[in-house]
Amino acid sequence: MINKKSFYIICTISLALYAYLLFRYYSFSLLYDDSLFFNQGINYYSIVEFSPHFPGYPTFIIFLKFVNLFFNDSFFTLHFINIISIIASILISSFILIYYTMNYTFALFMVISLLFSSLILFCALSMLSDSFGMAFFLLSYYLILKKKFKSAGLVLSFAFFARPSYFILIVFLLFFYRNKKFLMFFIFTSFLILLLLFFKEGSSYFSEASRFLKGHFFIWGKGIYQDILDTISWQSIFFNKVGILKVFLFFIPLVFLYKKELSWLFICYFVWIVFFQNPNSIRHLLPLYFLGHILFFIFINKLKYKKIQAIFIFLLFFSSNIYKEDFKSNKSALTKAMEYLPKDSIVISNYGIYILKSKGFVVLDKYYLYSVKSYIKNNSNKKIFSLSTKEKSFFKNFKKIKVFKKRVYFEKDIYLFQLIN
Amino acid sequence: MKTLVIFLFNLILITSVSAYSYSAAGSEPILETREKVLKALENKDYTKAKFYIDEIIVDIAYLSTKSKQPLLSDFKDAFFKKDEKKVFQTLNLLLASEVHKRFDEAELSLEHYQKTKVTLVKIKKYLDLLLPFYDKKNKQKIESLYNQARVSIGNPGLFGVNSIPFNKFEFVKNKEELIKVVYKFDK
Repeated sequence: MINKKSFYIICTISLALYAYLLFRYYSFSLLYDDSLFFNQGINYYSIVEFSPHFPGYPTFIIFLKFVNLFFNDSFFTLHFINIISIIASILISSFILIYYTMNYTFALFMVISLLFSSLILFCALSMLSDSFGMAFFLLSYYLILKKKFKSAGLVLSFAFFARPSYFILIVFLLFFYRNKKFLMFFIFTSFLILLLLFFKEGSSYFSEASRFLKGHFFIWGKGIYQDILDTISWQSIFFNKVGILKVFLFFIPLVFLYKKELSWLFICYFVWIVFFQNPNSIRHLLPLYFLGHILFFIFINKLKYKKIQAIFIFLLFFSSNIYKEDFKSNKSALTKAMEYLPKDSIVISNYGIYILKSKGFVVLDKYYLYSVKSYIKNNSNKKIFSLSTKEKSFFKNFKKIKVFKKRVYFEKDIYLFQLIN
Repeated sequence: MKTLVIFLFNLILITSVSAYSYSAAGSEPILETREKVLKALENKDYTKAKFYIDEIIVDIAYLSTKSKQPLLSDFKDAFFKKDEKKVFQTLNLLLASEVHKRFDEAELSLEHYQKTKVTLVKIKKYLDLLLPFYDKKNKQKIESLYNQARVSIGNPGLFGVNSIPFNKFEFVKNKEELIKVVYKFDK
């Protein structure tokens, strides 16, 4: 058994080493348009102009702006905060587990298991607000356990405005604990942030909210071009990418409902993402990984036989996807594609559109599919490229010329096609 | 609880959605019509394409006054001759006219920063779709003029801090120059 002191020493060394390796091997490398929007938001905040997009992620941006005062490099700041937030999330989740089990050995196993998770690596490098929101959510939950309700309410509001898609988790916490101080501090902080947003963005905030929410839930999220573009299901994500064993290990503790608030948090969030979130954004799984790990170790802590505990822990490590990482590339596939493409190229894509535009490429957005098809038909003499995460070209007369390998397991390879003149 | 867990497990099997883009401009009849018309042309269905154009006939008539191009008769002529390229070119002119119209609206609303900003964002959506149709020089010119026009609408700042007043002279100058270029598509 590991004691408290040993836990802190090993945990600190592990997390510091992990952070060091990430900073040393991976520099910032854009993969999602959202990362670009966050980066723009550090220097110029305007929600209508996608800097960043609705709902504006104000607490995340405020934090980024503050940290950027020290680095004066908005891309690095974003990269830095992502890695630090992941480290903080792992640490806080271990505190939550210790609170419930007082078992430092399992807490250390959990930290190592999380560090060995491909999803954690993926989110640490994504340059988005998921890990930041997660850290604040977990911190708020830990503060509730410690009965510090005022601070918990304030921190939860920060989590909400950094990662609004965690609202189901947030609503659940507010409802489950129903503590007056907790609720009041959450509402008061949220009100102040909203007021700030309103003074900054004015009425355009509401018009953008309407446009964006309509788009998210009825146009983009569900996908009106489902039959032609990068169709994917949660089924393939859970079974093929995450792995059936890991899903099984996360689901088993739910049957016993040992810590019902944690189990219900897991269930509510699971239902939310399956119905309302896009499986193309695997990062939505992040809360399930943290809650799943905590629940898993609470479950095995209740098991009587050490051998069974050991088998379960072995299975958890065995289910890790880290073994599928090749660590051959420290740049995202999109970055490599942009480095390969000739300057001012005409590129068809429905992926990283704004990043491509920011690098000076002429981009034909696949969202407007028939406009793209007509363009190809009327400009067949031009050198036109197409980027896709599918191996086969969607457009006729395009041949595959290059594959850009993904950086980490949960990313996607990008295929480059060129029009045959 | 076991039943619930089995139910949750089954949920994974039944749901499926696809990739998405932030590029949809929202409710924009001209852009939606353009896609519908081009889809109809892809299927060689000129009757349907004409039907979609007829749905926004009033808008087209108004936009013709902006571009000073007989857009309606151009469409009519192109459909009659089943000239797909001509329809495509006229649709681009239609989009350019919409840019022109929106810039005029932005000029009138310069005193209302938020309204002007939203109008310029919508103009940008149209320009992003049109940019591939210009040569390199005009593309750069349009991007530069748009950015300058964007700066000239000023910024009220936060609680008045760092506020910059709008510059009507600069805005109109950039707008006029941009409108001159926006109709000059690459041949």
